[in-house]
Amino acid sequence: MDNKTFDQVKQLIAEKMEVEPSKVTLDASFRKDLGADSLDTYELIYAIEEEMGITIPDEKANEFETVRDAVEYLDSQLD
Amino acid sequence: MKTFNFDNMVISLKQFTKTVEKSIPVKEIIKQIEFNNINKKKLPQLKIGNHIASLPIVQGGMGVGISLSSLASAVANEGGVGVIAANGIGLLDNDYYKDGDAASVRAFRKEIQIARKKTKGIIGVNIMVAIDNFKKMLDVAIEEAVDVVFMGAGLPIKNIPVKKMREKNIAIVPIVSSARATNLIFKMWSKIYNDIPDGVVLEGPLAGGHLGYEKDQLDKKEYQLNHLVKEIKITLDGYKKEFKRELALIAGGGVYTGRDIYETLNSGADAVQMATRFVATDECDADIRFKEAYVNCKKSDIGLIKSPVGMVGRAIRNDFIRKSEEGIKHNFNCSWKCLSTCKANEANYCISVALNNARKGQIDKGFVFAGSSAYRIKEIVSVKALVSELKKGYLKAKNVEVNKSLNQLLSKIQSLYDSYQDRLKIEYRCKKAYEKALVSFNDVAIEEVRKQYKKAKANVINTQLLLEEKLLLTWKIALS
Repeated sequence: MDNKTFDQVKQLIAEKMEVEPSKVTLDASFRKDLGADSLDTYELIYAIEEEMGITIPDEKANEFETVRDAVEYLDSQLD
Repeated sequence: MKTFNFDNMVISLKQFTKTVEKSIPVKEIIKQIEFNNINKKKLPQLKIGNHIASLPIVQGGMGVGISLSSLASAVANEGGVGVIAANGIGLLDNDYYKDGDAASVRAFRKEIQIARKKTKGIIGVNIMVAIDNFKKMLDVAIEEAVDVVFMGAGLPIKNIPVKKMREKNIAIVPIVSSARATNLIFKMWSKIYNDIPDGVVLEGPLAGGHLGYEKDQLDKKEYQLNHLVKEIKITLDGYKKEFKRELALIAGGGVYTGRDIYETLNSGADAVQMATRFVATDECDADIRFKEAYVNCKKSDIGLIKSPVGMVGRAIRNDFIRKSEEGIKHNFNCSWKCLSTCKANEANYCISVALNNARKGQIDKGFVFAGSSAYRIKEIVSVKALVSELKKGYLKAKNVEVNKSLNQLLSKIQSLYDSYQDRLKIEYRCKKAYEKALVSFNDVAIEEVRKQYKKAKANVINTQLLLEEKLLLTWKIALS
């Protein structure tokens, strides 16, 4: 796993969701641990897309349960 | 309560014309009131994109074959916005289990075309964003050039062919459950498309079918319809200013009577969305047994379910639902995954199959979605009769309200007018006293009387200003 992607995502999550960066672990669940609702998730995905210059289809984004899911998907796309 | 008498009001107003006419458009007020009296049998129009509905009612889209061409065209013929629901429409086609995707496209196109033949009114469609063939269904709606596309169950932000829809004069209206979602959609649209939708449908917590709220939010004060309407109105007002455009705020969920419509519009909405009431009509596309389930249900039958699609839904709870919750599996064949996130296996049933069975009248092999007020329905009527009842109820509620305000204002105007007359007399007396004092050559006495005269004059002007203010207010209410 690429640490750089995780760091980037971590920073974006902390910023957008207004949570402590230490809370953003790979196994953190967006909904349960980070308190994100569907609108938060949407805004976050959009921020990631803008920052990293890629597009994430809605149906893919819906499947992200944990931070790891998002990072793994991003890594697979950035290769 | 004293009922408002139109003739008395005009007579009262005419009394003032002689004295205050110069500064107040009393004659115009009277003219306007007379005009309104003739036109008070009308409801406000709904402007939605470039379309104008003479009735401020949008018939809520009801999926899996409940609102199709028959209901939608009947509502459109009465001046409202008729809506064909796209989701689950493929189940009407014989080949659904061979190719669900193609069957959906075919059935959807057919229903739009039939509706167009039956009415010249406004026909909209409701397409769920979450559904896997959303894009294809949207293309059908664009090819068939429907008047309005309503999009809910997700955020209609990405991949919307906005330009193509604008070319076909299609109004675009997302369905939302909060001001936050409204703002997010409008903000993203302005970024991506440099355009915004033509308004929103707000589906409140009392609606039927799938709800955009968590279970524990439903009863909270801040999630009630009137509260949400006010919040969304503020959000939309910001975008109206920025884009210099009219935006329609359509609110629904629990709107049952004409009085409800009046109150919802009074709280800031431009129109209402109603679905439950349209089920119990002759024209509704469902089987008669589906409609009878509404007529026969009790208040205690209406409750919440946890839908396989992961949302809370409101339905008429029956044995099918209770058995599923107890873990009994209802067999189904998932021919194509119409919703990628669907958890049919966990819920022990397929919601499309269950709702389709209910549509066909096999209620015990499925269940019926319904709004919180469905138990109040006592009979199945024509759409025409329903709309006429709603109109009457609206106008009655409006007249009671307007008359109440006008009566209050009239009694205020009357007492102001009385004191105006008194003050005029005082002013006259002061004037005479002043004139008398002037010939006395007593400077102190002159000064004293001059002050009194000045004060009396000011009092007259103040009362006149107050009168003007109240009359203008009367005018405004008469204009409403």
